Amino acid sequence: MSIKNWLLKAVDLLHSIKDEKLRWQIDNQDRQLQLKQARILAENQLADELKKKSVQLEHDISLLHTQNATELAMLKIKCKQDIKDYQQYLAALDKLKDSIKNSYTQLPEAVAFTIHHHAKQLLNQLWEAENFEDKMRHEMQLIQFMTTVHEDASATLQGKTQDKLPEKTLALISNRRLV
Amino acid sequence: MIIRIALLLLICAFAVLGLADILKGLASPYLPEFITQLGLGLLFCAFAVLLIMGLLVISKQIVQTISTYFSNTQRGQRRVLFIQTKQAELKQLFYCRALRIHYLHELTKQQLLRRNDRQHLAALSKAIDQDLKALKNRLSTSTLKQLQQENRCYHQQQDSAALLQLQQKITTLTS
Repeated sequence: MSIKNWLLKAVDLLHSIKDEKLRWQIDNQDRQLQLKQARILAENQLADELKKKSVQLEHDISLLHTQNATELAMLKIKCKQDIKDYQQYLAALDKLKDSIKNSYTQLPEAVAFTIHHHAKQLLNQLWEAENFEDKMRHEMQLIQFMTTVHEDASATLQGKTQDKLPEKTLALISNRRLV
Repeated sequence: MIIRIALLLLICAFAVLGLADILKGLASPYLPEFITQLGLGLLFCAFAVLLIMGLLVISKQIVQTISTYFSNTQRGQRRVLFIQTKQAELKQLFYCRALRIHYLHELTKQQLLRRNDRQHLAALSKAIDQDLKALKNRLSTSTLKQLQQENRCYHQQQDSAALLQLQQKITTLTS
C-alpha cells in the first residue's frame, strides 16, 4: 500500500512539474518570441555593421596603398636628390682643392689633402646631423670654411699676400681641432 | 523521449533477467533460457537506442556548428579580420620598403665617399712617391725602399693619417 502511495505521489510530482513547465511556457511565450526576434535583429544588425566595416576597411586599404606608393616615390626622389646634392658638394670640394693648389703653386699635397679632408669631414657632419639646428650649424661651419679657403686663394692670386701657405685656412683647421 | 525509451528498455531488460534468474531457481526446463535471451535482446536494444541518440546529438551539433561557421555574422567577422591583417601587412611592407630605400641611399653615399677618398689618397701617395724620387740621391737605398714600401702599404690600407705622417717624416728627413 505504501509503495503504491509513493508511486502515485511520484507520478503526481511529475505531472505537477509538467504543469508548471507548461504554465511557464504560456506565461513567457511572448517574451520568448520577442527575445528570438531581438536576437535575429541583433544578428542582422551585426552582419550589416560588419559588412559596412569591411567596405570601409577596403576603402582604407586602397587609400593606404596609394598613399604608401606616393610616399615611397617621394622618398626615392628625395634620396636621389640627396645623393645628387652630395655628389655636387664633393665635386665642389674637389674644385676647392684644385683652386687652392692653383693659387699656391708650392703648396704640398699633404696640406691640400688636409684642407680637403677637413672640408669633407664638415660635409659629412652636415649630412649626418639629426636635427635642423645641428644641420644649420654644420652648414654655417662648412660655408665659413669654404669662404676662408676662397679668400686665401683670391688674396694670393691678387697678390695681396706673400704667404706660401693658406694661413687663415690652416688656422681655422687647427682651431676646430682644438675645439 | 528517446532517453525515456532507452531507460524503459534497460529497466525491462533487468527485470526480465531477474525473472529468468528466479525461474532458474525454480528449476523450470525451457522458459529461463528463452527469457534470458529476451532480456539480452532488450538490453541490446536499449544500448542501440542510446547509441543512435548519441549519434543524432553529435550530427545535430555538427550541423549547428557548420551553419554557425557559414552564418552572415561569422563570415563578416572573418572578412573584417582578413582585411585588418592585410592592412597591417601593407603597413609592414611600407616600413620595410622605406628601410630598403634608406639603406640603398646610405650605401650609395658611402660608395661615393669611398671613391672620392681613394682618388685623393692616390694623389697624396703619388705626391709622396714623387717627393721620394726627388730625394733619391740624398737618401740611402734601404731608407728609400722602406719609405716607398710604407707609402704603398698605407695607400693600400687607405690610411690617410699614416700617409700624412709619412709625408711629415719625409719633410723632416730632407730639412
